[in-house]
Amino acid sequence: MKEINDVEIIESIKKGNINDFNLLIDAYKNKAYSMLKRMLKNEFDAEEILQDCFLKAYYSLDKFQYKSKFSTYFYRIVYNSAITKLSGKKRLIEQAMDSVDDHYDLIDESYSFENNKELSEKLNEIIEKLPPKYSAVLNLFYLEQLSIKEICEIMATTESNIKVLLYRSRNALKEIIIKNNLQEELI
Amino acid sequence: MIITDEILNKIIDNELDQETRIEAMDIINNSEELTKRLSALKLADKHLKNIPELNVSYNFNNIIFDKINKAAQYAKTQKRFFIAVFSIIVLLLLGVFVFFIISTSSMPVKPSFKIDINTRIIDIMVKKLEEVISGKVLTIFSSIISLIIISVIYFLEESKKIKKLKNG
Repeated sequence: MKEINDVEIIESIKKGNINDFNLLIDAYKNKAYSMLKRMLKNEFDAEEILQDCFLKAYYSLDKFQYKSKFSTYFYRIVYNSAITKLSGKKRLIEQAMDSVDDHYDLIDESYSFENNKELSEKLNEIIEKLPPKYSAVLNLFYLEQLSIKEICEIMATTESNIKVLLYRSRNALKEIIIKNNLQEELI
Repeated sequence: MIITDEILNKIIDNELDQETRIEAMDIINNSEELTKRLSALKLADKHLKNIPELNVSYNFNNIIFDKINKAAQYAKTQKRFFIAVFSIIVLLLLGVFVFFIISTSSMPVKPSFKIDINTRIIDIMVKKLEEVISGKVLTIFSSIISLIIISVIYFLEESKKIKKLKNG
C-alpha cells in the first residue's frame, strides 16, 4: 500500500505538484533521521545531512525509474551520505576499529535494574552507542522493517554481512539481559 | 548439533527448516543455559522491535521547501541574466558586422585593375586589423571581450551557487 502511494506521489510531483513532496518528506523524515542520528551520533549533522538527502532525492526524481522501491532508493542516498560524512570527518577510521565487541564493556558493568523501564533505558543507551553500520542495520530492519535483501541493496554488501551485524547487535543486548538475569521475569 | 548464537538468531528470525528447528528446540528445552540464552535473545528482539523513532525539528519541511524555492529562484535569475547578456553580445557583434560591411563597401576599387577577390578580402582584413589595434575600435573590442569574460565568470559562479543549493 505504501509503495503504491509512493509511486502516486512521485508521479504527482513529476506532473508539477511540488507540494506533494511534503508527503514523501513526512513518510520518511523521522525514520531516516533516527538512522542518521544513530549513525552520526550528532543531531545537527543528522538533520543537515537529511535535508541534503531530501534535496538530492527531489532533484533526481525525474531520473527515478521505479527499478527499486523508493524507500530503497532513498535509504541508499541516506546511508551513502552518512558514510561520506563520517569519512569526511575521518571518523570512519575510528568507527571501523570500533566493533560491537567494544561495547561489551558496558555489559561487564554490574547493573541492577529494578524495573522494565530501567532496562529499556539501558538497552536504548547501548543502541545509541553502537557503531554506524550496526545502527544502520538495526534501524532499517526494525524501524523501517525492510527485508535483509533490501538492506543489502542499500548498504551494498552481502546478506551474510548484514546478518552478522544484526546478530551481533542482538547479542550485545542479550548479554546485558542475561547478566542481570532478567530474561525470565520479563518474558 | 551445537547450538550457537547464530542458530538462536535464526530461530528468532524463523530461518531454520522445520526439521532443524525441532531438533534445535529439543536441545534447547533440555538445557537451562540455552533456554536462558534464547529467552534473553527473544527479549532483545522484542526490545528492538520497539526501538524509539526520533523526531526532526518541527519546521523541517519548510526548510527543505525554502531551499528548493531558493534554487528555483536562482535558476530563473540566471536564465534571465544569460538571455540579457547573450542579446547584448549579439547586438554588439551585429553592430560590428554592419560597421565592417559599410566600411568595406565604401572602399574605392580600381576598375581597370582586376584583382583576385581573396587577395582583396585579406587586404581589407589586414587594414581593418591595423585600425582595430591602433584606433578607437580597440576600445569597443576590449569592452566586448571584457563583457564576455565577466559574463562567463558570473555565469559559472551562479551555476556553482545553484548546484550548491540543490545539494543543500
